[in-house]
Amino acid sequence: MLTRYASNNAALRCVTYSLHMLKRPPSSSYQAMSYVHSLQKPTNTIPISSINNSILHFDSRPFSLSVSRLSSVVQFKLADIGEGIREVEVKEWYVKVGDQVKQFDKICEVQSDKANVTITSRYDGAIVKLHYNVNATAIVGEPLVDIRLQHGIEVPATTQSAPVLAAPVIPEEPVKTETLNKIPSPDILATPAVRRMAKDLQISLNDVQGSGKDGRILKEDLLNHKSAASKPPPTASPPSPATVKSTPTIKPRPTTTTVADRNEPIKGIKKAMVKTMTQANTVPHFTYCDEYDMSQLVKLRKQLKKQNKDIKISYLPFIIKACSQALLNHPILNAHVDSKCENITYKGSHNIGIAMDTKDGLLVPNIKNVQQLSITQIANELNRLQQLGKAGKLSTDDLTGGTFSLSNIGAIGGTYAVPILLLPEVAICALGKIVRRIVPDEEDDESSSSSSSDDEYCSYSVRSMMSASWSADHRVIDGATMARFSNELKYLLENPLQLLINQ
Amino acid sequence: MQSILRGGNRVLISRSTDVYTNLALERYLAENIKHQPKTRLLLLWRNKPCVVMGRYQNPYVESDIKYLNDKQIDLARRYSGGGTCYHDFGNLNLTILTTRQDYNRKKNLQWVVNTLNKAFNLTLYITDRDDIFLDTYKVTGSASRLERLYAYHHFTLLLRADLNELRRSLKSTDHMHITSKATSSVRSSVLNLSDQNNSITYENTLELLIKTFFQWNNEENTSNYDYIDSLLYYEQTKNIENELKSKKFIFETTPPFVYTIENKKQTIEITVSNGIITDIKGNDLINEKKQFIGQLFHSVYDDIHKLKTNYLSE
Repeated sequence: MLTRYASNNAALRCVTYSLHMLKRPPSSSYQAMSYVHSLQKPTNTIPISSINNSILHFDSRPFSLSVSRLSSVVQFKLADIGEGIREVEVKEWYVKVGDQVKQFDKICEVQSDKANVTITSRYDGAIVKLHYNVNATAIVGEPLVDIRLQHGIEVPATTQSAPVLAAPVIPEEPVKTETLNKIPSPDILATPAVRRMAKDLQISLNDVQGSGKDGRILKEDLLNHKSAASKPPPTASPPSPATVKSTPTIKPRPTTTTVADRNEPIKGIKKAMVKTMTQANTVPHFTYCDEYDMSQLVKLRKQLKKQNKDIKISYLPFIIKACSQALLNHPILNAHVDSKCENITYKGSHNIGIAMDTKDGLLVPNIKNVQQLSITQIANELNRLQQLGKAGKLSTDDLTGGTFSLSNIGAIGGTYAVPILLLPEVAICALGKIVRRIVPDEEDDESSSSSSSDDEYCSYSVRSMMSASWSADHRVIDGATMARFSNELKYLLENPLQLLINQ
Repeated sequence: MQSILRGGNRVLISRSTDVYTNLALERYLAENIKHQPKTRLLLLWRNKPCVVMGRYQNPYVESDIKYLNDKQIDLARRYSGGGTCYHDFGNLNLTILTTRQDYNRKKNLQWVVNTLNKAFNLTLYITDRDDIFLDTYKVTGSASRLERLYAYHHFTLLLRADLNELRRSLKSTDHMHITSKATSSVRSSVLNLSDQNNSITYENTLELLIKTFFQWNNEENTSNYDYIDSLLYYEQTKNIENELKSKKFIFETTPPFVYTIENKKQTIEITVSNGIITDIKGNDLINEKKQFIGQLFHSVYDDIHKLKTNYLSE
């Protein structure tokens, strides 16, 4: 999960946030995909920008792009056909690789049971790849064809249908001229003959302003440059921002060399994360935070270690078991909602997921049927999953079927966070670090009310406090439910004996 | 004349009983009507005896071609997908035409089921394959076509069809010989609605559907239905009709298949692609190869049949 750190306010014990649903169009096809599914698919090196929900803004500085330099190949995905259809058979292609298509031209025909659908192009461009053969099964939401866009940036003609701004990822903007800038630009346009000539004349192409199409350097440019070499270097071209009147007191910019950007396509688990996070973002979350007094558990753990020096037990198994116990009284928090939020499934088993930073990235394997396991069994399961995670060998079964999730980010650090749900679950918790703090003792009865004015004399103790930040699906879970659950969990954690006798 | 292309909630009834004309009319309307969002067009039609197969089906697998020829039962291929149906005067066809966004098969079928159940005291229900069943018998066959701007869902309603003819026509003698990836029909036992309730006729069903169609679409004007005389639109529809009638469209757009003949001597495999025989495999077929390769399968079909019997008789 993505966790954003809110500021730690020690005085604040309960905080409730309500995140407004971000105004983004919902994904057209909902897929409750587990990370493993996306691992099995062949990944393509597509620029991040061709994901449906991204909107890139361009600043006002104009620049020209040539197709050869920054031609963007867009993966045109099979749009949702409706009726809950997930896959269709490709029956006929109306195009082949190399064909030019315009927006709304027919691309292919697909058939699902009894409906034949004609898929039309969303873009103007050239067909680069067909992802399926005739009679193959195409998956809704997956790439159908790759189209090389005609223009560098595609602006959709219609307002309604599928506005996808597929802007290419620009590693370096083409330099119009800032002669102080000595970036070695690999994207200079010049024919081999011109390059040869530049070499002979010992002119660096970086220094030359191209006057041809798209800034292409021509022979004349080289010749002009040579003759102009003795003259002061050419000034920046007109569209650049206005020059600043320099006053004598301003120090000149220190000479630095810009370090090249590193570009890499988002693949594998990261790509899956992009997808799931984007999807989860459409669900209205609210966050509820609280602090649990772990002092009793700390004591318990110390005792266990004394009794058995070899035992390796952390707090997490206790917390997991406590969650399961509390869930028995609050089953709505162990539920799944479908993508349209029309049905809620109260899941029978407590399959509690634990977010892990594994060899492959962030994964959330789950422990099945926690309600039936003892704390030791939970600890062993947790250990097993961690080992597999480290080795990158978590199975599909381990990674799917989760009903409730925990993130022990506190193991690394942090206090309060705003975790993001792992769909289709409805609740998730981010556990902060256990910190020893001075906590004033509760005023127990009225007898001490007389001394209430003398606050500096109240008694205190040092306690181990762990903050917990719960996020839940506000469409089906309300604050009160979350608060009650948290209170029950708190009670169990602060009174571990209750936890043990009720197993 | 152009008022036929007006949008809105309307009912059109075709006077023609020619399957090619009606399919052409359906397509012409779909492509040219100014579809208005949240409105539906209902097209009602019936055909003289014919067999209509889905866009990507194989006629030889779906029906008895020879029988159809002998009995002069038309064979047509429609533009929508799905399986093969038999039509005759006892079978009512309905097409519901809408914008792409308003396409909803279930709603269409729900309307029909509710209407018929209420009026004729039936217990029809919709299956998850979007068929209407009465007990264990199928009474409709549906198919749809979705284009960018419009979509249509058409389905048949067995009122008083000749079920014996239906079974005979759809009985294929060749399906065991053919291997292909064409869409194959999912066969079910069928029943006429009139078998359940003898008062059901084409006329009263038509009237009932028209009236309730307007109610369903919240249209007060329940007389907004027109009969279409296809001859008036012949110019506009003739190209489509010609394509539908052509042997090219009916036979040659069949997905590639292999026709296998087995006898004591050998196994002969005939590969057909785009309707043309591209290959024959077997042990000693030199003469046959010369005769058949490059020919249109449907043209030499009778001779191919002879191959079966010739060899078998030896």
